[in-house]
Amino acid sequence: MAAYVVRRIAVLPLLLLGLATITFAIAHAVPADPINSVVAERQQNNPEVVAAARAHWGLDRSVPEQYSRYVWNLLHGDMGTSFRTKRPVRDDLAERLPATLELTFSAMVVATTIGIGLGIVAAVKRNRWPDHAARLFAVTGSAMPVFWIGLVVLLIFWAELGWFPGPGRLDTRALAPPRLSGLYTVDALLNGDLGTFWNALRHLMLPGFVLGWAVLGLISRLVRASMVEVLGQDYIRTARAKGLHERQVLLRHALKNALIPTLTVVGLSVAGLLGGAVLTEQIFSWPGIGGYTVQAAQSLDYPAIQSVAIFAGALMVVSNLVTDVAYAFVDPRIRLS
Amino acid sequence: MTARPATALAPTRPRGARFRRPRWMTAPVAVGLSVLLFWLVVAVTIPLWSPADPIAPVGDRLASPTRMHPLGTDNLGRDVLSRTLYGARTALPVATMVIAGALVVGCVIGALSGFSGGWVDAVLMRLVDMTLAFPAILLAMTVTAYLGRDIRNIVIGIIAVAWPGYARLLRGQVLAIRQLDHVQAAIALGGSRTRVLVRHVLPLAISPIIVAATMDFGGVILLVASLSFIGLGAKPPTPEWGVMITDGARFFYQWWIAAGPGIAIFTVVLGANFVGDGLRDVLDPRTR
Repeated sequence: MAAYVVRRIAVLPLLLLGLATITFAIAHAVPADPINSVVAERQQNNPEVVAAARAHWGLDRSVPEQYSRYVWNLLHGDMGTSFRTKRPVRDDLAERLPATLELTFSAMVVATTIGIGLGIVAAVKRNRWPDHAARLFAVTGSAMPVFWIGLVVLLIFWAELGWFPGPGRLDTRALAPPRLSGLYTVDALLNGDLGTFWNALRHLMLPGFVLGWAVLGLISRLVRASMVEVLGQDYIRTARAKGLHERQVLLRHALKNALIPTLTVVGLSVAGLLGGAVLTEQIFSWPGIGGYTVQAAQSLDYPAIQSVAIFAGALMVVSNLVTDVAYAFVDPRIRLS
Repeated sequence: MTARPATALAPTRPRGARFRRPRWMTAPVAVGLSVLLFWLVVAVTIPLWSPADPIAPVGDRLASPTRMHPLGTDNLGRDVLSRTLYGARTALPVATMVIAGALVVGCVIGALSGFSGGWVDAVLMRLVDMTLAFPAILLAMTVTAYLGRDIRNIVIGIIAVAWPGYARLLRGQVLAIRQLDHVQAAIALGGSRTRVLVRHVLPLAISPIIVAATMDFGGVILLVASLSFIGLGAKPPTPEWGVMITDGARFFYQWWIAAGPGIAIFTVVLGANFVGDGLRDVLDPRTR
């Protein structure tokens, strides 16, 4: 087990190098000249300005040289300078990461609780209306564009009913808590400021629900399938035969085992969460990495887009590793080698 | 989704029923197919019966739904319903091109990988792993952004992230089928690699790939709309669903602007997923 983990971690740098190589290859395989997005259009006829810009951004060097510099800089945590904000991409990302973490974590909570709940109900009431309703709910979430659900939900629950606050991380008049972790809910609690905590939490509910709804289908489907399988086992019949309360049979005996395969799917949903966050943040004016990415894409800010892709790829690689290892921990039948 | 085709289990069928429903034609598949068929017909015939011009202003700006304009008008006074219907003329061909392109790239690479083995296989499969390690939308966005804002570049961008699935699938199939006697015989008889592959291996390998492609169709529609929504896709006057939702977000309180394209995307994706699920239950032996 320890050897397996060490080996997996040892390959990590290679994987990350692969990710960096792919984004670099994309950047250089296409005919677009990045100079077009750094030099203003009327300056582009001025050879001096163009040459200066090329030298400044390192575009005058040979491709292998650019590649080695790119990888070298990445190794030192330098992701380049954003064309748009003129700041190091690393700083931009670091500043916006907590907002995205807070959002994706809430979405993950929504997706797992609702997903598991729906899965259990669907498995117990198999092929009856609760099963179909659960499936419909899950399928609907994954078939609607997440940015459109965001709009609809905002329109109904904020603009029309006023049950939840609108876009943003806090009410417009509220002050952000002093930055410790950057997660508003955590910082507010650490600061003992319950008002701000509640405010931040309420702002998380709608976007968290929207993003969670979009990814919970995978989870509920798998919980249902593994619950169905587990419920057919002999030990479940034994548990029932000895007169245990049905709820106890379901939650203590069945769910425990049914959840093991679900763990991998939760790991897999990280991809969907990261992708969905890009669009959800755009709709909810969420000051996270997703919104940053959209702005970067709109202004063709290559260093920023590329860095976000690498960053997200790295997150996925790490979350896959964590999932695999965690899987082995909870299921003693799995022997990693 | 493990919805069994009801017909496969039902033992009692009225004797002499002349029309036999095919096994794959379950209720969800039938619904999905009709929805897709509806949009296909719309895409082909809409110029003949469109309620209004999709490009030119036809009424007041931001007018709420009326009998004349059942989904109201947008910020330029264009009829939202007509634009939504015309949107199918972009969405369906674009998604089809993406799937076709990804299938070609994925199958060529998968077949090459499975048939060659050795370092070619190793390199190609690492490339597959790497590409799958990115969240799809971010990699597609990167490629599209580098190529420039255009719907054609969205096609290329999504092909760039969609092919690895097919490559991996076909490689697995080829590795298994290559061992079969008839393939060994064909090789022994001196058939060329391409011939053996195309005549003897692909026909056996194709059905799971078709299932995968069908299941991906809805996802591709969503990706296209997402990239357009971000602003990487169709240029303004084109009626395209993602761009229309961007307008709907800007004119938030005029809910009808985003309603049309949103429902359109939803129905197409749902239809495609129903058909994909149904086909998988029947064609893919692993899920039985």
